[in-house]
Amino acid sequence: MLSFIGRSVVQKTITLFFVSIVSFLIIHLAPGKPSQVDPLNPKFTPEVVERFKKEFHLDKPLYVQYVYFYHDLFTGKTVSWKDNQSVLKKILERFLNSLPLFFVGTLITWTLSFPVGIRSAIFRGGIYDRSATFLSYLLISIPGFFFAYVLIIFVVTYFHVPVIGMETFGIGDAPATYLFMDRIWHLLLPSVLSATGGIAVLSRYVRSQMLEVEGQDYIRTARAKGLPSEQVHYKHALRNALLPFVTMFGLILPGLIGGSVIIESIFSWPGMGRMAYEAILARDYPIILTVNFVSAVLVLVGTFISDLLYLVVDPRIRL
Amino acid sequence: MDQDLFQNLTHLLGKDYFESFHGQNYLKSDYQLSKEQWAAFVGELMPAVEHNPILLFNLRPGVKFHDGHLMNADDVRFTYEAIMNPKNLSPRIPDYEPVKTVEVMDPLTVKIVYKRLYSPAIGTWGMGILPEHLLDAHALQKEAFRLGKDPKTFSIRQSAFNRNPVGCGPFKFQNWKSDQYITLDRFDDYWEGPPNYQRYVFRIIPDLLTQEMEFYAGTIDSYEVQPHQVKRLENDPRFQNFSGVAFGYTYIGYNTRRKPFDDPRIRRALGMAIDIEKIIKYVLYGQGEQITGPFVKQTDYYNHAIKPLDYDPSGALKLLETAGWKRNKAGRLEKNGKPFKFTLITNSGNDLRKAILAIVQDAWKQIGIDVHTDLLEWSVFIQERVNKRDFDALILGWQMGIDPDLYQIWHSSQTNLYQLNFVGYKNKEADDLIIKIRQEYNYQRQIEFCHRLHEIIAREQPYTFLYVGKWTAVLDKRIVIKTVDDTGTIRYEKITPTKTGNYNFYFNKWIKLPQVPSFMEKG
Repeated sequence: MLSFIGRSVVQKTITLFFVSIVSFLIIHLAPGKPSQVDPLNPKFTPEVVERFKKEFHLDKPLYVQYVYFYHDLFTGKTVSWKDNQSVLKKILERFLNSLPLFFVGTLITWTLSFPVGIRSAIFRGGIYDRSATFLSYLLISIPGFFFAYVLIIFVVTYFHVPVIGMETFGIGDAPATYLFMDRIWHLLLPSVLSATGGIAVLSRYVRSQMLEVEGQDYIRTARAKGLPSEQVHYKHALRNALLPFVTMFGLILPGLIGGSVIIESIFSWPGMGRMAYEAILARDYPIILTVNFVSAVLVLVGTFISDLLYLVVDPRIRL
Repeated sequence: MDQDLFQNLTHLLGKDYFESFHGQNYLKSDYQLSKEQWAAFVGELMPAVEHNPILLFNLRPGVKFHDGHLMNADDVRFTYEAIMNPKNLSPRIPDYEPVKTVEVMDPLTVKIVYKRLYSPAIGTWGMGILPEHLLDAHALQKEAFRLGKDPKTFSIRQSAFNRNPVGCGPFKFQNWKSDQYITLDRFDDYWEGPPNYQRYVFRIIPDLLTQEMEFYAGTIDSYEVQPHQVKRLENDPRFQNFSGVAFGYTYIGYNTRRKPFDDPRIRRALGMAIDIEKIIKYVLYGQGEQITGPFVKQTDYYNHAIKPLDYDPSGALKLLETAGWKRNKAGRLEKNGKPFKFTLITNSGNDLRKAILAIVQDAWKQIGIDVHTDLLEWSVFIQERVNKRDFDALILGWQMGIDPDLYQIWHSSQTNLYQLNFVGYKNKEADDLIIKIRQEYNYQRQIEFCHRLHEIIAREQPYTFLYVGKWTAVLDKRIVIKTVDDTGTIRYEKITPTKTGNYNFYFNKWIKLPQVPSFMEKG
């Protein structure tokens, strides 16, 4: 066990190092210069461009820039080129904004997908299964932004309530419970929207896993023993069908920092996705690279956790 | 001020009079300098002739910064110095490069002397003034110590001032939530009297549809309306609206270095083949106007005598024929057996340009030209194609200021790589006019030069000028102008735009009433 953890950590550190190099290279290979350096402004003279390049070390060879950047990152000194704000502070602020969205979205996805998927599998081919299948494909096919518009227009015209932003604009000093409920309400629509796609996909996945397990011999045996069908489905079948999802759980982690550009833009949610997207458009290297690095770390930690979880839940696996 | 002064003087004094002056004879150097260095140095220090225009600003007394500190001439000088300080990396340096000295005469008078004639100078001083007492070396040093940073590298760029600005305007900064909103509060000591509104909030809502929904919900009072939204908001009784011509225009630029675009007849024919009115009607939903040249349409510099190109595909074909391009059996244009073939490009992410791309491609195909199109990501478009001159024709737009200075975009010295005359337009007479315009201080003469330049550019068609967009602003009808006169009587008036179409010029007097008011006709 310990040796597994040790090996894992070493391997992942090496991977991380290569990720840092590759992402750094890709960003610099991408055409276009940071917008601070190369705007299409008639007044910008070559001398000013040179001065900006120097300030951002862009006149140095790439490996020197690499050292500069990661040195700054690990000492916490990286600043955004756009507004001179500390990158870590910016990311933390956005992360805290995106966190509730991510949390509620994931919660809805995981709590709804399982019942839907399991029921579909148990009553395979029935009317419930068919309508669930139809609905899933419908949700997968509808573009997220379109669905969001339909929902917003519907909610605003029928309920006359503001839906965008993190809280009602100009809410001021309302009582704490009111403020709290306002937050929850604003959270609801975007997180439901970000969950719909997930529910559609995940419930399909649950269904097929369940069907596979339900066809196994030991399920027939359990039925033959005369066990109540509930026990067969939920104890014998479900437990085994759950195994692959344990690994998926670890992989949700990187989603923490990803955020959704489309949902966040439509709902004016000041989250990670929007910041990263705008940074990419402006070629704000410090922000892009830091987000990239942090998400690489999260992916690696995520896989590590799912390995460990697998170890815990599946007694057949021993290291 | 006469820009031809010295030239006219030579008629009286003799041709070589100024050339016979040699500054070297009057100067001595303590250092050994090479001949060229020495000549350049002398040329700058002691030229035979030099125009030194002077701008004298008399500041209004009693203007206060938001922290109560009085604004004076030292702040103006400080602002200039802060911009020129290389440590601050200001992108505005080129604006103030022609300045020779900034002198504080007394606390309310600043004298600015220029190295040469530079008429756009007045516009550059519309710049916000920085408070010296918060940003001078001493203040920065104190801030660096407080934050535990190295005072040697600490500059205005690092200062907390950037997120907490202090100015002299009618509203003072309150707070700023990134990607959410900026709040400003009424400044009671504003020199013109405090504004009516208690608070000004600037919200950031990236999505067009949600902007409109928020506007209906009443949580926004005004926003930038998109062309397709104008129609449904214009006739809504709840809102009042204002519209005007914008400052930017959209054009098709031809790479005049490449054949066949070096021939003005070809460029004109290409322009004639496009139905611009249709573009305005269907792409812009009528929210645009045709233009014929590079000046801002609502200024006097714009030459209204010039008529836009007629939409005339058969005329275009005739013109192409005079240049040697004929239609073959398949209907394709060719010259000496070579087909007329090129690529039209623009940047992705701009739906209007994308639509125009398709319309123009189709229009040109109608007269037998084989046009390919390409959409490129903005920075690729600029860096790889525009800056490196690697294009046949492109669709782009310019955002203009009021000043008629066209040096960077049209002067023949600006055709090198990475410069803005990327179409490679060169014309001796136009060059002269461009220089004269930026040296002329007489408004009437400047207008004359501009009209002439406009005429030349319209004749040569290095661009096909497409349109200038219109902006529309919608406001809740309950917003009116409220004034209180000396006797204390309150008057409400309807908001009316100024001559240039600026509807929020009297913003400080605006107020939102609980009900929609009805006004009596003026009479």
